Amino acid sequence: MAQATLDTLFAKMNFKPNKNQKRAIEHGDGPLFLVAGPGSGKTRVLLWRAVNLIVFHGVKPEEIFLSTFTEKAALQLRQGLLALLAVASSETGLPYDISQMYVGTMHSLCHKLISDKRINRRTGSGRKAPVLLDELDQYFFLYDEFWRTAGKHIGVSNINAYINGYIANKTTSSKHEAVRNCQSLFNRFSEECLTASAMREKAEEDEMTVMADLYDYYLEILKSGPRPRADLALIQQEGYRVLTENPDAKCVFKHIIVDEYQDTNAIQEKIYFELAGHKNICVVGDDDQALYRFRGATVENFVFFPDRCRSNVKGAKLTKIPLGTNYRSRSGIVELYSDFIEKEDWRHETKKGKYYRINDKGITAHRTDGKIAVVATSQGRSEAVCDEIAELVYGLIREKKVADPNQIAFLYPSLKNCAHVPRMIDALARRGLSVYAPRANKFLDNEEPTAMIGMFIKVFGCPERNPQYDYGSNRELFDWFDRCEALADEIIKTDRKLKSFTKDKQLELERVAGDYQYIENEIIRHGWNMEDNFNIHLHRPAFMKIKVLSKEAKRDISGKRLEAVIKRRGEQGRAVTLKWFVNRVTSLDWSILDLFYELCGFDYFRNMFDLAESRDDEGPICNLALISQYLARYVDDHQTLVTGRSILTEYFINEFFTRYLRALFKLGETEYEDTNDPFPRGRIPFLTIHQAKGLEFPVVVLGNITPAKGPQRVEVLVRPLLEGDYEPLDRSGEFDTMRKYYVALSRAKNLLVIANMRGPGIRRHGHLDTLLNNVPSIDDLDLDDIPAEETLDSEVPRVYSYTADYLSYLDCPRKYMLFRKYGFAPARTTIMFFGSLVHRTIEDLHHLMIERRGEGS
Amino acid sequence: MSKVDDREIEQFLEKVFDENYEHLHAETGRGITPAMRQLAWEHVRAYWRRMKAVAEKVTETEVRLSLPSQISPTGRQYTIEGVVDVVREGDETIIYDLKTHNPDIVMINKEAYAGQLNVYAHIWQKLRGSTPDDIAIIATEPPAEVRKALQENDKDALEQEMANWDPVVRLNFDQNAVDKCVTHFGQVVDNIENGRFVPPAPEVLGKKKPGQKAPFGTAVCRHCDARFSCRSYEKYMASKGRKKTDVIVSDGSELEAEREDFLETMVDAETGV
Repeated sequence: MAQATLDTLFAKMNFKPNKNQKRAIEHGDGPLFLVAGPGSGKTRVLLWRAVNLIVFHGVKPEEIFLSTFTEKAALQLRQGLLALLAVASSETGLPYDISQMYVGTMHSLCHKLISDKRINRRTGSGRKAPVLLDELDQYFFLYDEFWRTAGKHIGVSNINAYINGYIANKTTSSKHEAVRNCQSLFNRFSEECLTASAMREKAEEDEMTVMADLYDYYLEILKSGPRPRADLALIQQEGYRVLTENPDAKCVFKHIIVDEYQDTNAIQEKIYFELAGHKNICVVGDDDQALYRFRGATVENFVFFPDRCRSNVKGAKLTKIPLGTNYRSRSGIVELYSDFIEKEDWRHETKKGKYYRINDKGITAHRTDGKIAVVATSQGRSEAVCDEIAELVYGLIREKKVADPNQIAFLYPSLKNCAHVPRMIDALARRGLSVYAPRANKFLDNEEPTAMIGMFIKVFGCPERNPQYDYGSNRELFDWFDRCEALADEIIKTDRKLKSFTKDKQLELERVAGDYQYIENEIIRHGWNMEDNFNIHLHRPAFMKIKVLSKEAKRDISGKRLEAVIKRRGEQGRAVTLKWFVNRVTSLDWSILDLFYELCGFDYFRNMFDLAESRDDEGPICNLALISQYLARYVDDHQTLVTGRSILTEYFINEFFTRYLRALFKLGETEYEDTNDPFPRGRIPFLTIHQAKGLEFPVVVLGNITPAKGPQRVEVLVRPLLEGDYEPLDRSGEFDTMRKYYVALSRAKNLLVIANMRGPGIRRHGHLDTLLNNVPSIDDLDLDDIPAEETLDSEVPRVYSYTADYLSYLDCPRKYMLFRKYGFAPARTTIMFFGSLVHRTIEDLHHLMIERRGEGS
Repeated sequence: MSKVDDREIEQFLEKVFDENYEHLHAETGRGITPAMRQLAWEHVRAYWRRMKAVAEKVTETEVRLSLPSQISPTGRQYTIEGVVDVVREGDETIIYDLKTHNPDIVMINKEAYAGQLNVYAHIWQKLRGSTPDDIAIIATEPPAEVRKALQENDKDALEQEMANWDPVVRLNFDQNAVDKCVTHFGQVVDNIENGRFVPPAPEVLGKKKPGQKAPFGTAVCRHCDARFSCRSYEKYMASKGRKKTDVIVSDGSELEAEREDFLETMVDAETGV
């Protein structure tokens, strides 16, 4: 085999890096600061950089720490690495195994780090990572377990009002809001590594001292219980603690590579510097695209990275490389956003020559054609503007300037409560164009969840509206329940089979509830206790004598099979209490996820599957998949079994509708509602600017240009507790808005359209407003000048697994589509679980054997 | 290795088995029935006892093999990936693929499995420059007799039954089969990328696949949550004079056992046992 070099690999993958990209990829030791503008190929540079280290510099994959901001980005990096390393492998003849490599989001990597024996020298349970609570878990933890005693702990009678008043400046006693407010404040505390005692010291108001106490209590409750728990912010603190307690840990990773560094927070910065014992820390990012201050991100970490590096990575010389060439967008677009960002004054108020922005980015466009690439609509009322845009979009599709409507994205600062959004959707609908707007409304308000939950209401019944609380978001919730039921009624009206199915299910529920009641009465009559051990000779005959008991229950109770189970459990020393027994014979033998899949078999839902199979419309199936995931989560985390008791006491209804769905409904969106990318075929995606981060589209419409808001209240509260270099609060609101629009303006490849609405009540962002004066109008645009976009294959070849893809597709393509492509949550996971359990254990055995032989030789 | 070591290894296995169970449970939020857990444990124990000679010699475990730069019939570039265990002894290299299947079924379906192992062998050859000397599947499902002996801790019976059990199914390397298989793989990649997800025809559901006891529609579809919304399945069931919500099994007790397992696990979770 000829000697492989990086250049031969580039050639093989048809990659022609520019000078700076090449420098960044080939940079060896020492801190590296990559300032990467939009469309500059930074992911590619990162991938090649890792490949270069692994293939040509003998760095083992597990000696690289590669972190990024989202799970999706992490998956892309992993896929990309697999593909590139596979090519490298075919050249060098050497295998590269990245299965142990650290590629992921910071919290997933921290979770891994805690139990990594190279890092955490403690053994046994000392190396066990805490149970991780994601945002939704954390919400429920606060809402239930924590809230039970929180008010009492701080000696406040109306804790909801107190917290809402202080954290959000609002006079409301909404528990939901109080929990949300607490959640965001606590997360900020954790991200900033603030301790309660430090907070008490610096607190300017008494309320902050109370918050410090409350936070302390929160940490305490999390640690109690059989296994300690940690939220996404605290798991990072835990990771940091493990690192500082194990001095060798800082040299485990030879290279630290961090993507999206502008979105890191204080604790993450600490971790990165702690990990960088070899002084090889490479950070990549773009301060102009920092969007996550509301999640604790501090863009200052990136802008002032050279200073931070000087004090944290002593004695190492920093290399800064700008990646400024934009390969994505036509030059008109690049000029516009470059122009835009410079309209703001980024200078430091006192320090001369210091800026809150990195200025020397060298942004240039690779695609220069000199023709119009950005247009604005005429100035006008919302209706007229929407019509003008819809007409243009219609033309673009007709003229085949895009291969599918999903290549045209509409971006808005916010989709909810924005009056222009429904108008725009209407205008498109009038031209036969449908949209995919998972966040225009609450997800649950979409047709598919409304119908599905409606069917659940038909089966299980629905909680009663309480007139006393019939206002605000509670009223919204119950109005939604009403809509659900109304839609379900409509569906049932046209489907006789569904009607009788629903009836059967209702009867089944009545039966198990009744059976539970009769058996419980019998138990009470005898003076037995639910915690008593089940005695087959005593209890069974008594239950069999209950006349009104259903024949199904009797069959179970007298059955040989259950008898065998009880005998076996007895031998294994596992309890069979009366409670266990009663639940066993009066519970449904299906879960709500099973019900979901059965309902999917009726025409109304089944048509949605047909639409996906025929590729006409993927929108409905994506929503159904998400519902299945929510239901699975309920089954996994809240209630696995629908028992007769839970029907009788309405526990199920209260848990599922009043608690779980209410929370989802009020939260509106969670990390679970990941945007689909690529977006469903046949539909035009409507996204928030946040959702569009990191994505690109042939055509982008910026639908609204509202001005900046002031800093977030949590930010105002936390800032006095912090030390260090921060953007001043009175400027950060405007800075953040500039960055947000910068992201929006830089997503388009071929054409950017900006809505130019004017009228009473319409507020406009100042700099954007000025900018629009020089932007040509839609009338000036010649569609022939816009290059046509084809469906593009992904940049890196995709990896297909022999078993998980090929064999599984051969087994059944439709099953593959639902579970692998659209991510439906299966109701029964036994086979998968079983296989993984056996495989992992045998793998561990092999590792042990290999390790032992290694020691022996 | 000595007897003491054996016991030590079993203890190790027990520990990691439990840990893995806990991890999977935490990762997926799901569990499996006690019976299934027991069965999984028997797979592991039987593997260690029967395949000790192989396990002790494994040189690389869970090796990810990738074959890059494949081109599908419509010109898409893609990479094939698989995971194997490798034993190298002296100059000899054997590639094993571990499956939790029944060896008899693997034997009957040898051809279907051979495709996969052939592709893996082919990748190995490309990567390491030499053809593996042997390719084989280790099918870890222990026969009923072995399980019984394990459960009853009957040493004599175990020894005898273990000797009668051969989990290793050797396959032959065949370059022609590789080319055929890779071509087909490319077609499947195109189908996936082009969004072709039509289920098998109802007639296919009515047929038994080699080694399966029941026709596809029963053996596979019955366990698929998507069957209710599947038109092929509906037609298949109609051809048997059944509704799609019906369940066809040859032995009713199988169904009952499933129900019992489901309820037992769920009630345990609900009652907090």
